Amino acid sequence: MRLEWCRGGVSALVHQRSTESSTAERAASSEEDARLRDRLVFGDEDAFSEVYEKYSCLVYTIAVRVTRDERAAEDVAQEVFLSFWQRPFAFDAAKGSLRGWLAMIAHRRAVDLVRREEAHRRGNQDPQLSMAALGGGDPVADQVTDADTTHRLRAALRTLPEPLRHAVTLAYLHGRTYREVAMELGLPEGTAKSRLREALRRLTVALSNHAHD
Amino acid sequence: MTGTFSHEAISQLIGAWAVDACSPEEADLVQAHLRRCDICTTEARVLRETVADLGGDDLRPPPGLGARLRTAAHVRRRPAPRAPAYAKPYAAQVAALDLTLSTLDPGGWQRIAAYEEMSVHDLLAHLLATDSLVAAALGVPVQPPMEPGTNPVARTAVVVAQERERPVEQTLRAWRDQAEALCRVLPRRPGDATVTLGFPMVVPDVLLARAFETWIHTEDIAGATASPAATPLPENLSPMADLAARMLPKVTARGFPDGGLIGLHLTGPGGGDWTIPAGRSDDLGGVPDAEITADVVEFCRLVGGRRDPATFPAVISGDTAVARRWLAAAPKLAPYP
Repeated sequence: MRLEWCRGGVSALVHQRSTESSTAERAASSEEDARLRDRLVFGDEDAFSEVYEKYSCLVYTIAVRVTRDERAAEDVAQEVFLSFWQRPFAFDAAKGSLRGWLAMIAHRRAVDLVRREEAHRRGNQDPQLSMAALGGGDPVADQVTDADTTHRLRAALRTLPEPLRHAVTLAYLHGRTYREVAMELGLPEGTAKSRLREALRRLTVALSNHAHD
Repeated sequence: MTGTFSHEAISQLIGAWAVDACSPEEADLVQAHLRRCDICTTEARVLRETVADLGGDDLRPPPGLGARLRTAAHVRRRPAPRAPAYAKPYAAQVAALDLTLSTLDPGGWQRIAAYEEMSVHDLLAHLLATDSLVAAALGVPVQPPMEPGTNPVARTAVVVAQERERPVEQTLRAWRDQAEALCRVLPRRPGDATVTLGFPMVVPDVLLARAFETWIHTEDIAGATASPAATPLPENLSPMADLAARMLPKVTARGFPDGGLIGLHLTGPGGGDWTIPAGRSDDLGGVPDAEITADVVEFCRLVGGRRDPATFPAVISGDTAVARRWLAAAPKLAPYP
């Protein structure tokens, strides 16, 4: 497959993202994130509750999607929020949104858990969280509800050519490294890297477009 | 430039990094590259925001999880002590300093953090000592017991000597427990009781003074140990700046025997406007001799003795000489040494 970069590269992506909300709105949102972080620094329990109320569905949903195990997802969510309370300086509002950062930490922890379970499974063939069980079908479509965000996500994923969709699904939902993606799809490692990057670039554009539908 | 560490090589990993599909070593390489490459930082940020949308947010965690987390949070890290509204700035600064100290390694505790001789451990002992003057005045038992009339310098000498013989963890626990006890006793004390720290202050003001000093020393410690620090929340900074404005005549009066008025305009969140007598006169009528406009955080650092008045950035109108003389006296409000 010949990869085609989004026209305009990064600047086009940024433009797409920036059309979602005005500069002033994003600055206000960043200030709000920074304040919430600072309230945690100053030991404000109410701020902890606010962070949980605002982002618990996001963090928990990511954890469920990746681990496919509600107990494990609960553990992941617990660690994400408690580690933010314990080390609030780990988040820097200058580098991105709190939403994006919490989603990143949730995904990272969920993937680590799945990889550990996978290694364990290889050892004793008795998985609690088996990536092997996740093989067939459309992992996202299998789980989606009618919620708007998942509708947007499903629609955005459908816009991707199959090779890109397959690569990003393996990496994001199944916790595969790009090397494992390359191996499973019979690709050179460089191609696997390129497909992941291109898939995310196209999803950025598609999700932005859906936001305006 | 090409090779493993080149922009070209690292930028190809950005997509994989954004979905956590790199090896830990590669993820470290990307993180290091992002600290110095604006192009990749921009792309990484955009792709990360997209990845945040990939999982959706349509599933609700089990109902009891939030309550369990709030309980677990107390065990991981103590929240700010419960305190009456006037003591919330102090409680907040205690929580922030505790956070900074909780991340220090043993070497960090021995770094010189202030006054050219006080280590982080000493500085915490100094805070423990000065807080203990307030605690003792309010009837909280303190260790070692205190003679009436003990001043902050004498008390600091005793407590620093005591704490140097103890592990840092014990000093930390003693300081934090005393702060909790102090906040707990406040609702039972009359608001018009006074405590002498340099000069007599009502209890709400003395708690603001403790918040102020705890903040300044948190910055000392963060600076000495390359730790992050946050400036006080605006709602806590505002009363601290107000305390400084109200107390400054006590230290500027000697330099202004004929009186004078200063218009002080502190900008930024938590700032405000004050008209302050430079001398002892309480007469606030008339036009200020000088108007000074400065950033509220920087002004508080000046008052805390952490900025050089000679180079302090301020916009001055009116009598510049008066304004500079007044600014030069401001750091004298810092109670120690």
